[in-house]
Amino acid sequence: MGQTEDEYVLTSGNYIPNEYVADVKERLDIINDMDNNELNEYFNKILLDQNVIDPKKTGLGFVDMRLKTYRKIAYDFKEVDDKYSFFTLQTSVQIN
Amino acid sequence: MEPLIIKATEDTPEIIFDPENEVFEISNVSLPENAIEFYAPVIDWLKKYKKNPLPKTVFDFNIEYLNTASSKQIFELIFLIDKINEHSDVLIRWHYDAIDEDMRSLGVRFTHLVKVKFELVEYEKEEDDEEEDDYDF
Repeated sequence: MGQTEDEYVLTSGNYIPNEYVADVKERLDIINDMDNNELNEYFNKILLDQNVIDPKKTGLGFVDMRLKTYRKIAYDFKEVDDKYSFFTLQTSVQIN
Repeated sequence: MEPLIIKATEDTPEIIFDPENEVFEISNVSLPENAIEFYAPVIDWLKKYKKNPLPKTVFDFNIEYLNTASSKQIFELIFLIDKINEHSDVLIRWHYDAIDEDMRSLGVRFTHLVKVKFELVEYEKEEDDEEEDDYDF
């Protein structure tokens, strides 16, 4: 976590298996393209969908981040070896 | 019906569903490693309670902080409580700290998704050191 003049910057990173990279990236792109209305509707849809048992795979966490920060999520994937990549994401919140 | 009593831990809430004493409360924080596993017995208990509920039930949600996996499970509870409401008189009270905009807006979100009576209850958190001043030694 860091701080600039008017915002807190949050960065987090973890290793993910290479075969998940395309999927996570696609989900991030879709969620980054949503406006506030679409994010709220998507959040409700996941809550109401009885077929979704584990929301981990739905990107609900990313949706929540976007709704709370009003920012797009910056991300990067760096392939470490033939099994894993290092996934970093960054967002920020305004200091008020 | 046997009460459901789950003690709080550092990352899981306290849950007391006790029909005999008419206490139905979830409090503290909800950040379990596995939210589905943690809430499974709570959902089971509510499904049983739904078959024979008290004429009137007040559920108090007094959660200070929760992760997104928990919000899905908490909504499952609220969804079930909404069904209990078809058989008896049910009220949900959603308590949140006055400074916590996130917990307030999650409560507001839930009210839009169910029919059950839903009250948003704002509270002001007391300072810890003020509480300590109350003790006489």
